[in-house]
Amino acid sequence: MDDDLRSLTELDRLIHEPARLLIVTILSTVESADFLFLQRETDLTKGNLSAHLSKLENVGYVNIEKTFKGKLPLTVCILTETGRDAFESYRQQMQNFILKTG
Amino acid sequence: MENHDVKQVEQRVKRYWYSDGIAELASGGMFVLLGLYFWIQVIFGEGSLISVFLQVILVLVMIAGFIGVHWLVNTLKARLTYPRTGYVEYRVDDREVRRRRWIIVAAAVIVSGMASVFEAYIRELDSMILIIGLLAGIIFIALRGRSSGLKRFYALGGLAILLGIALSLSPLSQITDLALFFGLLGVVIVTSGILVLRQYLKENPTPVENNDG
Repeated sequence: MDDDLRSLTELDRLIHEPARLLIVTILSTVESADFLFLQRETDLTKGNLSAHLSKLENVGYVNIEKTFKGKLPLTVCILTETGRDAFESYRQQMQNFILKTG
Repeated sequence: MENHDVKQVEQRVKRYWYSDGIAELASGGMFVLLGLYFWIQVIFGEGSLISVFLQVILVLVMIAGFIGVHWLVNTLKARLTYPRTGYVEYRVDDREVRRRRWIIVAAAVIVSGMASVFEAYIRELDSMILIIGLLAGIIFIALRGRSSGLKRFYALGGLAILLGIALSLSPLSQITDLALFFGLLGVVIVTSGILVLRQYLKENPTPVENNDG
């Protein structure tokens, strides 16, 4: 197997999953976003989004906080520094792969 | 995920800030107030006591305006937008802030230079309103339009430039030009904001269930 192809096996599988990749990409562009915004942007069901966020939270990529904006209760999601680093290195790996094979 | 995909997601998230028209309502309102401010000076005459008083408090009016706009945008978004389509806190990207500052400074230098060249050839030209019009247009097109990808900001930018050029060539006094420029542009921006807000509220009715995930 070619080295370029083999590099695919080293990808962060937690981020590589399409729904989680979209969640992490959205969170990487903002300081924080609430559950409702993520649900609308990703088109996932509440259960699915919760499950994906839990997985990301368990590995320390995402922080989930319950807070208030005025009187409005919010579940706010924040990409941690670890999460940002993981996403950045995932992007680099994908770019390298595409450059070498494309 | 490639860079252009990330850029698309980034642009979509930025566009969300303008999806409800509230930012336009507030900034357009600020323009209308500025128009009124200059119009009062047109009515009472530039040397009148009330005009001198208004000129003295201009900085205070501007600061109060910015604080008021900030409060209004946050309050309206908390009441109308966040319960319907969710809350986002944007990142303050230092590189992006620096880039925007450079764009504004470069545009100001280029536009001022162009205006003084034109002024040498066209005697009736009001260079100040031309500079303001071109700068407002560039800010709308290069900063708001490009970052969000929304066409209505290109239209507003084009309108600001046309209005600036038309008023700079008009025989009216500078203070009347300023009143008309801010007043008219403000009314158009507020109208655009109202239409966008109406559409947004139609597409996103009040949620009946608790949004909290």
